[in-house]
Amino acid sequence: MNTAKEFSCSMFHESLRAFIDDELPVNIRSLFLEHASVCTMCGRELQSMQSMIQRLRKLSPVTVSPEFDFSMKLRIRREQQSLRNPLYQFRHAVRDNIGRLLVVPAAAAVILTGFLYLYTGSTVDTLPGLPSAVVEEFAANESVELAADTEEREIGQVRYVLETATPGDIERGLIVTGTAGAALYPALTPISF
Amino acid sequence: MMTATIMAIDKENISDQDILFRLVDEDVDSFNILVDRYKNRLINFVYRFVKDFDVAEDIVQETFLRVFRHRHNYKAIANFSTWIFTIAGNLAKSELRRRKRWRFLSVDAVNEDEKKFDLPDDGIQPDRAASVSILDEHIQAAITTLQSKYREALILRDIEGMSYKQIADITGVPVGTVKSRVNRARKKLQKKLAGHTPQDELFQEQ
Repeated sequence: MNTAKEFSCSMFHESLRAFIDDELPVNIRSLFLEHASVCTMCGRELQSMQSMIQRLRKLSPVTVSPEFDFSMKLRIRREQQSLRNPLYQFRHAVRDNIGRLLVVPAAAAVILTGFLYLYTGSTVDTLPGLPSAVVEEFAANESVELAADTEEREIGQVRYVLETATPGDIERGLIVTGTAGAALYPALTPISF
Repeated sequence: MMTATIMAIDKENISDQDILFRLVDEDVDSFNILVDRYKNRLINFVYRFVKDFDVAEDIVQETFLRVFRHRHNYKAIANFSTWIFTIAGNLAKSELRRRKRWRFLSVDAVNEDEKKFDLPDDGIQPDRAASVSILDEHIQAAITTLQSKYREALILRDIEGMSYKQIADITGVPVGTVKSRVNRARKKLQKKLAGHTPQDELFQEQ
């Protein structure tokens, strides 16, 4: 790139901030200025930006009020007195470290939630029908007696309804009562009737 | 006379780090030197951010209080001015967030003579103190319309005159991001000011 004509307006705009902040390499800087001198729009843009920034730097500085020093000293004195109070020290220690203090319980809550989800996540929340192949699998499980129908068994025996129980339910000792529309009673140990 | 001269030289030459070292022992005289050194720079920065003088002073005082409270951490502070501006900037941003949540009118606003709206005012207010030029007010009003992150970058760069590295340390973002924010802030401000006043009139030498 050797001439101002090759230095396009979009290149000019991309280089504007760097030029204002005096960061352009010397060769690019001269192309930039050459372009500004031949392109009316870009030239105007540069002048406007430079004027604005110069004006910003000349803004009347704001200064504190006459009462500032006195009230500042008063606040520091109160702070010094408060610092001698153990309860104040504790409150500030908690406030200043609240982020760190909350990390451990937050992490514990996340881990516990994940654990509960994984452990109970496979709990049946729908009650699919039981295909005949599964019924045969149930029959092979000696610890369980399957009822051929929904008739109640004697007290002390686990009751199942074929069309609503699942293999997982039996393993966990869950009892399903009624038909497909009935409630599920999750329990870790079998409930006897 | 000699003693007073030596003390004056000490006040000017003592470094921020040395003052912090003395602050550990609650040397309030040293702390006052720190306050004198930074109070006006901080108020200039914070006021331009929140555009409410009373709130700005409160924020600056709170900044100094936090410096006093955390004086024991002075060894961990590499650059004091970066640290104090970071505290002030965070407090100013908290104030702006607080205002966003609670957009309400002050009870005093019913009195037309004492408007205390926190809304950006694009109009010229000829009843302000004579020492503050009308043009300054206009520019300040335009700065207030910028989004918080652009406003902060512009104030620190083009009003406070800080380096990009310093601003990056204060805001906690990379230098490249700071440059991008300054660039966008300048363009937005330029557009805002162009929309209200002809360029030659606005930027004539005062």
